[in-house]
Amino acid sequence: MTFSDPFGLLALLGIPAVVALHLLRRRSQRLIVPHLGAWSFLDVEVRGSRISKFRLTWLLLLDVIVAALIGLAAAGPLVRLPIGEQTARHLILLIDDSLSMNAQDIAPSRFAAAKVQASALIAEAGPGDIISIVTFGGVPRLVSDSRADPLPLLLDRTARLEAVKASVALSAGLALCESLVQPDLHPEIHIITDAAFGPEATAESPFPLEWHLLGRSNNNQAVLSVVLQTDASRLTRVFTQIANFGTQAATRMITLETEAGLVESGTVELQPGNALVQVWDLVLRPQWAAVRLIGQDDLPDDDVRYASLAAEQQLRVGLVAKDPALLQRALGALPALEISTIAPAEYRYGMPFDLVVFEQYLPQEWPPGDVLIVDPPIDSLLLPVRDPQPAVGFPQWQKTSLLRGVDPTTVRWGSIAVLEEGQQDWDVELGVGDSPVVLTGVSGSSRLTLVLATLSEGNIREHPFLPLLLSNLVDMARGPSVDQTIGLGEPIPFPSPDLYPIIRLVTPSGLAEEYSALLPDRAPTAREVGLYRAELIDPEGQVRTLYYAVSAGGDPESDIRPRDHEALSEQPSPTTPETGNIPFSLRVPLLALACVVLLLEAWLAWR
Amino acid sequence: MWFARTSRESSPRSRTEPSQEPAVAGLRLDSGVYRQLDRLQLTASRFLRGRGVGSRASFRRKPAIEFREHRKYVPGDDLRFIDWKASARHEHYFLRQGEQPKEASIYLVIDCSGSMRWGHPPKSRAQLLLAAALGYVALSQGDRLTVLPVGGDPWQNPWGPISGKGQVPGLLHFLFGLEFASQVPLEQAILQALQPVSPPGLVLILSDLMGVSHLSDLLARLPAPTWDVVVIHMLHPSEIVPTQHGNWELVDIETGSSANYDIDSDAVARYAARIAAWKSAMELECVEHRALYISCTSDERLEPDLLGHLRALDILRPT
Repeated sequence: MTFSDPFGLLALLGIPAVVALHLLRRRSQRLIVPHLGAWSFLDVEVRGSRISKFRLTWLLLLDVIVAALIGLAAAGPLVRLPIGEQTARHLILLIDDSLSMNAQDIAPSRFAAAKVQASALIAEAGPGDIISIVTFGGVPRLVSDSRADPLPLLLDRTARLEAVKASVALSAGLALCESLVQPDLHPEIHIITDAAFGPEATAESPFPLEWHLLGRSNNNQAVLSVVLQTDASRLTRVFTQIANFGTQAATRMITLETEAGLVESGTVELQPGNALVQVWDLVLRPQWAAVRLIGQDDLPDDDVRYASLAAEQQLRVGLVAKDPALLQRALGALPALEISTIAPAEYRYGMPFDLVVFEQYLPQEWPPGDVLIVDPPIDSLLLPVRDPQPAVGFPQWQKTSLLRGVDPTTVRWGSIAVLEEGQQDWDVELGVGDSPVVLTGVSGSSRLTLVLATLSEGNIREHPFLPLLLSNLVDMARGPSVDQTIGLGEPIPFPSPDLYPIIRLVTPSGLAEEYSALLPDRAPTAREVGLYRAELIDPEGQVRTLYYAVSAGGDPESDIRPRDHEALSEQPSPTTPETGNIPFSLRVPLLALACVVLLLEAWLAWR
Repeated sequence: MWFARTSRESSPRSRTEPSQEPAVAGLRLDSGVYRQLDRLQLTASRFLRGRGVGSRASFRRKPAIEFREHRKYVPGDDLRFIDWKASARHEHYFLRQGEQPKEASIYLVIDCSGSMRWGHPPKSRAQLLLAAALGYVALSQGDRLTVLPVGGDPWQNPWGPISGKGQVPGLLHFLFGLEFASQVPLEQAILQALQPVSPPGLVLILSDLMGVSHLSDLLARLPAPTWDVVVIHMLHPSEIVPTQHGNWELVDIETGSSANYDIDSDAVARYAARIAAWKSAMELECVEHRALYISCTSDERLEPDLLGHLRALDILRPT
């Protein structure tokens, strides 16, 4: 028996108080009789005028019992009652599907053992029991529930679980379990895990938790991170961090690989509990790089880590301008551009440009892709503008990627053309006073950027405003960049289907899949460690190749040392003892019994 | 529990204290009772030797004007009372004998010990009412009445002997002015009070007999038929069957001594049995000494209860 409020036992001090009250009462209980000798046949308890001997009476005994019952009730005693065969349970299995569960310190792996243990618990469930399977790796997820799924389906979904999540969310998982609890059943939450959590993990639940711990590994080394950095000199620097989560020093061979093959190799000595950083300089610009630890430890998944660089692609820019010198100079400062300067009379719709810049000229219709209009003419039907007006007021602008790094407050604006209202909707990115200067809009498949300032006035020609604006616009036109490393279990970030309606994806194991813009789910999950090769096909059929580097492990998942699970929760949660018991509070029964004794005492006194 | 009795009684202490209610407060005999008492007289043995001339018949025959019966002449008889006419018709001489009415001596022994103050109302209240009624009957019938307050401390002088109905106010004043306190041995006190009284008579003892273990010594000193003794044993109902239960410190109202007892229902039953046995022993001793024993309780009314008892036992009878 335990007490939910042990300090309530102080209420037992009421027992001596009750005894004292009885003694005090007896001291004042005197009865005048006509002749004391008539009572002489009784044994005299104590001769004298005062009571000096304690004598237990029925009333005192009942009062002491009442005080003891109330004192015990105040302490909130809890007993664990055995669950009868007919008592239905709500069996909730909270399974850790984080990467550390792939550790092979128990054969074949911790996660395989976890699934075996889950199957055993499911097999022990009675016919009236409810079973819920919840995972708490990454984002907690309800895998299956016997209230909705038949048992074979529940078992099948449990068997298909994979430990690929890069983190754990124990508190959120317990919260999900609490929300699932069937109110009229006795809940049993079984946590099947290796307890390889970070320090932020806590396990607090109003229901008793039963821990099923797996693995006690102390031998794991991991590549925690790989970062590729390029500079203007075309050199690539590779940073990697390696850690030893074991209890003994380890010597491992480390290799660096790119698409060109093995680049570097060497031996590193890792002290227990320490991490070191390794840096390589490459004279080439690889599309991807992999750092690998050669050797054996308990978690092979985190012995290799990949990183990728977005392929540098030449951007085709068409400059259609009456006075192209200024814009040509600004575009020339940007790397990887293929600039074609075209006189307005020679421009034709459908020319293959990723970005078209119009200066003092407008075509009959907008070309597809990104379009920049600078200083538009006033006689165009496509974009109705009026004569420029002098700029009055202070600039105001939106903090968008288009104006990243631009400081419009130092620009001296000359005059600004006035845009008339038409069918086109525009978003004002920058304005001076009441006059919009930079606007963006979409027309069909064209993304329009409009600059209404007159280039020949003010200091725009000398100011970096226009080159920075062009640079941001070019970055936007280049399309999405690829993150260097994607965690195992995370979605692969495909670009917008407008730019690339069809994507062919080849997994590290060589499985090819094609994703169309028509498919509702264009965000496949990375389920393998390695390089996913994606072929992005634009509407014109041109193919662009990207590499998605998927890696496993990292801190804290690679730290597969189990944490003290009892320190996670305030209440001790034994693993095996008291299984099949239900806690029962004796507070209400004790108070009810005290009331019954009081009634009995009142009845005896009345008699 | 401590609230148990408080819920049934307004004040537990008031029950344990002796009555502070004055015994004479509101004491009086109703006019209806007086009318009934006027038609009653105390029954005394004819063998009692009366003094003077009263209204009671006597077995002592002597020549008298009022004829009652004849008897044979024996030498020494006064010749003046020979009935010559009757003697002429027989062979013997006969004397004319008459009955000489006499007065009886009535002794009202009032137990003034402290135990008579006990109870609600106190036992002394019923005791004094009964004594007043008996005294009134005695005076109205021409008996010589003496009131003997005994058992109290300090000693209180007797009142009487007196006779005549005109002494009734004085009787009531004396009775209702008696004080009840302390205790002296009752038997000794009665004998001490009766010793200077020479003429035997009817002794009416009104007492609770508390502390009296037996009456033999007393009754042996008052033998029948010289003395006619009536013991009116008056107890409070709570003295016969107590209602208290639990642990009590019992304090003797007369001596102030105390003892602690655990009174349960078994103890109460044993107490009641002992009281009943004690009363039976008192009655047996009275029977052995040809005295009358009457048991009554202080909660009984004077009329018809108490006087009814006396009429039933022929202590009071119609004139």
